[in-house]
Amino acid sequence: MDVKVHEVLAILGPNGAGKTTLLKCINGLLKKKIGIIMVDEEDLSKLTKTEVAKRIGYVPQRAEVPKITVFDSVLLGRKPHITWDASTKDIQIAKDVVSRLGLDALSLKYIDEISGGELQKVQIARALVQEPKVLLLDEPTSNLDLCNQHRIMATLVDVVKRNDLAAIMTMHDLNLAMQYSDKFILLKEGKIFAAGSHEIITPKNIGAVYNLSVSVANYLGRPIIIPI
Amino acid sequence: MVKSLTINSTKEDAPDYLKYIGKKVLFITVCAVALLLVALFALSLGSANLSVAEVISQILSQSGIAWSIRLPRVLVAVVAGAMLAVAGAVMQCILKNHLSEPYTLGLSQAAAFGAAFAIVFLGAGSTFSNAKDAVIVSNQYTVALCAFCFSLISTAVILVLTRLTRVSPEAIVLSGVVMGSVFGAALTAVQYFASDVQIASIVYWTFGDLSRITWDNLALIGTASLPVLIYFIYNRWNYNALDAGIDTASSLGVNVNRHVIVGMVLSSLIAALIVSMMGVIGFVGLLAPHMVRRVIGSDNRFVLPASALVGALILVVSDTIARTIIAPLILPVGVITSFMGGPLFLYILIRGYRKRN
Repeated sequence: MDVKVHEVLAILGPNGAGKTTLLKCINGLLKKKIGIIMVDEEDLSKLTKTEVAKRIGYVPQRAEVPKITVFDSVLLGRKPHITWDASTKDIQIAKDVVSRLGLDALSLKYIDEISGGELQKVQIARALVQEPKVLLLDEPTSNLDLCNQHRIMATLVDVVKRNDLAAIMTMHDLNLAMQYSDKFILLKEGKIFAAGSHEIITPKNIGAVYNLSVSVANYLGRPIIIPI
Repeated sequence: MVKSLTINSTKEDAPDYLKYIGKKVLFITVCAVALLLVALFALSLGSANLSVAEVISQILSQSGIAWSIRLPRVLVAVVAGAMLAVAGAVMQCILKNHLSEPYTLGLSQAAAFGAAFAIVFLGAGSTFSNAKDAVIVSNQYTVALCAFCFSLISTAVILVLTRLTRVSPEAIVLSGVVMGSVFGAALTAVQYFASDVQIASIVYWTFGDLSRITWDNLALIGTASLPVLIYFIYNRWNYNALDAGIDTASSLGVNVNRHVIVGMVLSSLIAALIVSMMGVIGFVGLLAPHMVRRVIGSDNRFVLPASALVGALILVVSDTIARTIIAPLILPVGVITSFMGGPLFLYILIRGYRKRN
């Protein structure tokens, strides 16, 4: 499995296939049994937790919402870089990301008062201020309405393309993944069933992984999956 | 790297954030000033009322009732209140349970048993037959150590329950109630072997009382508390990360297990020290952090110092009420804090239940 800068990789598969587990192994939240995870030719298992946090930003599936402001929640992403307290540089980086993601107006609102879509943006912003090289997102569009799903994905792709960043995300919505991702991994029972670009999205592969008959149509050069 | 993310940065945002931070700093400053004023007021009140000028004069000359009796009592109320509050705030964060504090989790009761055990069985107290000072602690280190060891048992049970079984917040508090009951029963069993005079003292002790405090006690609790307070405040960013969720904290480089275990052990140490000298003082660790969070939110950068000040304020006020409300009789301070904390505990419990349903 290989992801390059400016690429978005979607990990696809049914419930229990191991998508979140794979993501957590990459991040070091779970201990892997075999394999090596490298970022820019550095073996992550040889780095401290703080060093890993400077290279990998993680957006979990469920956000907890303590009574802190949007800005403080984003600033928390500087934690791996902070020794005693946030410096002027840390605050400036957080401000830049808050602006970039259009969260200015909300910055002094408590995060338990904002919508699900806004909260997801806050989580992405927090991961971005870590200044990571890789962004991991666990089902970034779960629990969001259609409009917010596309807004979040568009924001994510925009951030990845504009910065020296790669993103790996788990997804349940195959068509959303087709629209916004460059590469795909189909996971089945904890193993990679197929990996590659749009060409691996075939009725045969999808049928085998999800145990479901599907038809794959083509719309503007990208596959659309239609269950039969 | 997100080097190119310097887009649309507006200088107008800076004053807003600074203003917002300034409000929190102002709250902490007001609490500090209020604590100073209340402490001076508390020093002036008692069987012999003194003016503030007389209090200051006696303290400066290191003589008189204000210096020899009231000052150690007020200072220990400040230290104990501050540390119970900070321990409560940290426990609520690391256990992700807003009902946690040394008293509700049974740590204080376990420490009380440990202290009584040291006095009755290890000979750490000498017996006199005069009223409430029936047991004079001759070796406060043995008592404190024994209290700490037993409070660690309660801590271990809570940690196993939270880390291994991931039980609900209410179940954690229920386990605290169980631990409290078990050690309460053990304390009763200790009384069975104690002399009449020791029994009287142990019973009085279980309510929490500051009247036996000496300068030596203050030195011990102050010396132990300062590094713990510094450790907790140093880790305020880690606690903020833990508030954001275990996965988020881990992904930000926080060693979650280490912070949970060290935080709980240090909280137990504080609870044990306070109980071994003053008895069980409940709910300060619940009252102070909740009052603070209502005003300035959950950011531990401000919650920890503000909780320390509010906790100190609560205990100084409670002790002053306990000393003066039915003077010349003195109520145990634990009675006052329990009257204040009990209703809040029920309120948080009901609010948590409503949120989930």
